[in-house]
This record gives sequence, structure tokens and C-alpha cells, in this order.
Amino acid sequence: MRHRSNSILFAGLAVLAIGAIPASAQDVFKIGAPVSTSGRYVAYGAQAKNGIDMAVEVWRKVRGDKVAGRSIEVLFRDTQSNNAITVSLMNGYIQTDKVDVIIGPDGSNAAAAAVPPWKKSENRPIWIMPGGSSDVIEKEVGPDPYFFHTYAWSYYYHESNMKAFKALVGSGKKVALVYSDGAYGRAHVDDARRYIKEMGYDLVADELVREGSADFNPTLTKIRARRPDILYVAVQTNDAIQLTKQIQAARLNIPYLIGTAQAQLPEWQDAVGDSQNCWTGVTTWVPGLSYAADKKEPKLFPSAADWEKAWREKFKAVPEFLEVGYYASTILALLAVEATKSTDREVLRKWLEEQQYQTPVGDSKFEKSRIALHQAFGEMIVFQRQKKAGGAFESVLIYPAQIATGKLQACTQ
Amino acid sequence: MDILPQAISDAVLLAGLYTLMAVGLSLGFGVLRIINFAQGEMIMLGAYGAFWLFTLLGVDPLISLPVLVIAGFALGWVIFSGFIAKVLDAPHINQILLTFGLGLAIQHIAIILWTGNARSTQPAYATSSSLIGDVLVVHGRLVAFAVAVVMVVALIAWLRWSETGLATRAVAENRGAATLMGIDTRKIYALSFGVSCALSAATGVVVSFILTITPFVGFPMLVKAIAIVILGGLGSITGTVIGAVVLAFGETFASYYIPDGSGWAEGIAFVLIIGILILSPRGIRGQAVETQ
Repeated sequence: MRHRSNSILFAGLAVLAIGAIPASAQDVFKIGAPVSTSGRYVAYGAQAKNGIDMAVEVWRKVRGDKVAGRSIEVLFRDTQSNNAITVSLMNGYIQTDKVDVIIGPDGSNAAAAAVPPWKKSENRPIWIMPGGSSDVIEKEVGPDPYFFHTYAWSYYYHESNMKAFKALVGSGKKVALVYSDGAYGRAHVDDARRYIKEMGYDLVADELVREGSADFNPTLTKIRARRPDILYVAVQTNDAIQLTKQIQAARLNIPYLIGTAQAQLPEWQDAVGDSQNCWTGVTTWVPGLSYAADKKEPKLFPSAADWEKAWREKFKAVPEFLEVGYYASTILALLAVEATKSTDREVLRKWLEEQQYQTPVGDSKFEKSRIALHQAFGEMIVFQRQKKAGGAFESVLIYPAQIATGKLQACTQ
Repeated sequence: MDILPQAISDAVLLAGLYTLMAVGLSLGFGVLRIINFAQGEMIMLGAYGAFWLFTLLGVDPLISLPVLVIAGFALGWVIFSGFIAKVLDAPHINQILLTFGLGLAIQHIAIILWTGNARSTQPAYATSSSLIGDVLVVHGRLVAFAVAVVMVVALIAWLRWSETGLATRAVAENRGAATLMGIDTRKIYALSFGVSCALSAATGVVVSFILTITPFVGFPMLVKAIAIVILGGLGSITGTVIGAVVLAFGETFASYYIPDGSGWAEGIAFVLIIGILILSPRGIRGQAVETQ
């Protein structure tokens, strides 16, 4: 009898102990946030961190310190802009920290490095990615139910660019394409060619350049001989800076200059100075957008203008596209936990698939992309850098027509 | 349009940049027998110096050039006294590790101080050009070439006609004999290392307006500079100029005359270098180098 009572006592304690472990884990909602706060991509990492910080701060102000009764813990870890460290961080988040959601990392290189450790894990958490555009990532991740991409894929850039030009200047023009031999150029070139041709343009020059080349003039000389109407450049930012300056010096007299990601970056704008005039670019967000506030959650997702104002007050700076993307992604993750009162990935996945909000970076509804099952915030805006009366440059929105703030201007050199 | 004159013009201007990039390394090796793996970071510091003077004070890079050359010389002297002097007689691997480590440390300090953002200066001549016949000459590249010519001629003049220059050559040729002649070899080493860093700072100034500045800009330049110095012959200034010309012409002509050549240019140029080194293992104007 005594033996039996002891057994019951031990069994009871065991049940209590087992119950206690998940109870304490359930008290915290853990977000794994790999950010590049040092190394080559430190500018991206700072933006990613700012976006998440702002989201958590707004959440606490609007909803209090907890989400569905859990405290919020963001585990910021530095990728050091290093792929090997990113792999190690992802393993740590999944195996050791057992985070509920991963948001990041920033930039295509780190994001691509993060795929294998996440993909190989059976119990991988929900992964929201607001910072990688390379479609190589999409191919590696595949149609995974727990992956949510919250930025544009690289092919969206080219589709948007060429649709805009077809609408604004018509098809049938001659296009010269320049791309670099690095990961960036290789990830973009096939889709750039595809949409140039699909939209009815004549690809008269298709030039490969070496990443980090000391001189692009040989390429520009060959392009000048083909007399294109449009120069289309798909190179990463460092090369884009040198190439932009060399294009101005080369006096190519090409009416339209199209860039990919670089034209939206203050880094490129500051480095090239007056040479940025007339370049068009694509982005998911620019200051001055007229998106309305969400009707259900106007405090978490205010209008783009109000959100921008709040950001400027907090950071004393103009918000960047990554910052707004990270903000909206983090708020979505918090809303998912609050709405479902759960951190179970199946429950969160289902909620994320069904939700729809009007955020400062656009509609949050996830749609299928070429391969990925969940894609949001991929709608792109085409803008042109134009010099204004005071001598300063601004991004004039030229496409789509409903949000345009000005007209596309042909370059005069 | 015949592109040969344009190709020659581009190659000559690029050769000026490459010469400036490599000549400091060549001098440093010729005298100290140490390949300074932090040479690229000296270029990077020169570029940032020009950038900040341009951005904060509006100083044209050409005006800041003398200031940064002096600063580069002083920094070189300090680095020599604080670090290099300690490993002068150490095995080569220690010297390599020290300079490589210094380079990495400087690079990371630059990242912490200035972030990894790409930057560039924008003096008017960086993006202006002239058409001479059918040949387009970008003024920024022409200015870079002129700076290279001035610096290399000044270096040669110093080595040939100044007392310290002659002493430097004496140390480069025979350290033991130079010591017996009463030359303070330690001082000459510090001087040479300082001049070598000053030349790198000058390269950085030029880089600031024709290329893109990041904390990582130095390493690819170091690789090219080493290739040029080995091709030209270790320790030979004339050989370095020839090496730079070979690399620049190889790259530029590959870019112009081979389909997708711009992507392959560096590879083709390096194959050319390997070919020359197989035929002449000491490089084009190499000197015998004592090994320990």
C-alpha cells in the first residue's frame, strides 16, 4: 500500500514537473532576429533592427507589454555579415533557443545562407523574411508551408520596370543590358532579359562586367556604338556607384537609365551626387506614399504618412524600405500570436495565410509567387530621381499611374 | 568606329592607377624584404581621408593629397616603429601574419568607425570628359594618371639624387655593407616604410573619386599590386611600372576584343602574368632575393 502511494506521489510530481516546463516556455513569445549589425551589411542590419524595435515599441504602447499573456522577447543576434555565422545563428535559434518565429536576416546573401539550417530542421519555426530578394532563395526554400516572404523577389523588379516603361514610353525601343558576374547580377540577368523581350523591346547589347572592376569604359564604349534608347543596369551597389559616375562621364546620350535596387538606397544617392539625375529604380516603399490606415488596426498599421511621421519623430531620419518591411512583418507576427493565443507553427501559419491588413508598406495578404506559397509586400513602385528647384534630388513616383507624383523625364546629357 | 585608339587610351590611364597602387608595395619589399599585407588598408585609409575632407570640409581630393601623403608617411613610420621593427629578423611567416593581422584590424576599425556603406567623392573632374577625335578621355582618370606620374617620378628622383634615397638604395642592395658604411639601417627602414604608406595614401586619394570606397576596397587592390610587383620583379620600380602596363593592357584589350571580355578580363590578365613568370621566374626586371 505504501509502495503504491509513493508511486502515485512520484507520478503526480512528474506530471507537475512536465506541466511546469511548457508553462514557463509558454510565458514568452520568442522572436529570433538575425541582423547584420557589423560587417559589410551593417547598414541593412541597422535598418532591420530599427524596424523590429519600432514594432515592439508600438505594440507595447498600444496593447501593453504582453502578447496573448506572454512576454515578448526579441533575440537580436549579429550575423557579422558572415554566412557561416548566419548558419550557426539559425541553428541556435531553432535547436537551443527554440524561438517561435524568425524574422530576417537582412540582405540576400545572409538570407540564402540561412536557408539550409532552417530547411533541414523538422521542427522549424515560422520564418518571415523581409530582407532577401534573390530568387535563388525562393528556389532553395521551395513551396514550404512555414516560409513567409515579405519583400519583392528579384524578378518583380524587372517585371515592374519593363511594365512601367511599356506604359510610359511604349515598346519597340532598343535596350542595352549590363549585368555583373557576381551573385547579384547572375540572380537578375535571366529575368531582366525575359521581361525586356516579353514587353516588346529589342535587346541590342547584353554586356557582362566583372564585379569590382577598375574600369567599365570598355563596356560603355561598346554600348555607345549600339545607340540604345534604354540602358538597363543589374549590378550590386558598389559597382553601381562607379558605373553611374562612368556613365555620366562617358556622355552616352541614352534617354533612359534603369537601375534595380541601388536607386532607392541613400548610400548610392549620396555617393554618386549629381550623376543620379534621371535614373529610375524600383522599390516597395518610398517616403510620401498615400496608403490609408488599416480599418481594423489603425494604431498598429496607421496610414503610410502617419507611420512615416512617427518614424521621423523617433529616429530623426527618413525611413528606409527595409525598416517599414521589418516593422510590418513584426507586427504581423505579434498579431498572429495574439489572435490565435498560440505559438504553434501550424496555428500561426493558418492565421497568417488568412489575414489581410492595409499596412504602411501595402496589403499584407499572402499570395503564391513563382515557387513560394506565401508572398506579400511585393508590389513595386517605379520612381525616377529628379533634381528639383533647390538643387536637391527626390524620388518622383512614375508608376503605377494611381500613385504617380510626376512624369518620367528623358535624360539630357 | 575604330576602337583601338580608345582601348590604348583606357589601358594607359588604367596603367597609371595600377602603377600607383603597386609602387609602394614594391619599395617596401625592395628595402625591407617584407610584403606588407596591410598595404591595401593604407590605400583604404587614404581614400577615407580624402572622402571625409571632401564631405565635411569641401576640400577637393587634389588639395587634400599632400596632407594625406604626409599623414600616410607618419602613420607608416608609427606602424614600422610599433610593429614591423619587432619582426624584421623573424621568419617570413611571422612577418606575413603580422601585416595581415594589421590589415584586418585596420579594416575592422574602419567598419566600426564608418560602417560598411559604399562612398565616393564627387569633384567635377570625376564625371567630366573630353572627346579627342574619337577617343573619350575621362578627366578623373587623366588626373589619376597625372598623380601617378608625379608620384613615381618624385620617388625615382628621391631614390637617385637625394642622400637618404641613395642610402635607401644601398640598404636595399646590401644591408650589411650599408651598415658598415655608417648608414642607420633602422632609420632607412622606417623611412622606406613611411614612403611606401605615403604612396598608398596617394593611391587612396585617387581611388576616392574614380572607384567606390568601402572598408574592403583594399584587399582586391593588394592582390593586383602583388601580381604586378611579382610580374615586374620584386623590388624593381621600373619593373613595377612595366608590370602595371602589362596588367592594364591585358585587362583592357580582353574587355574590348573578347566577347563578354569585361567579365573575363582579370582572369585573362592573370593567365598572361603566369605565362610571363613561367618564361622568366624572377619577373620582368627581377632582382635576386636573399632567403633565410
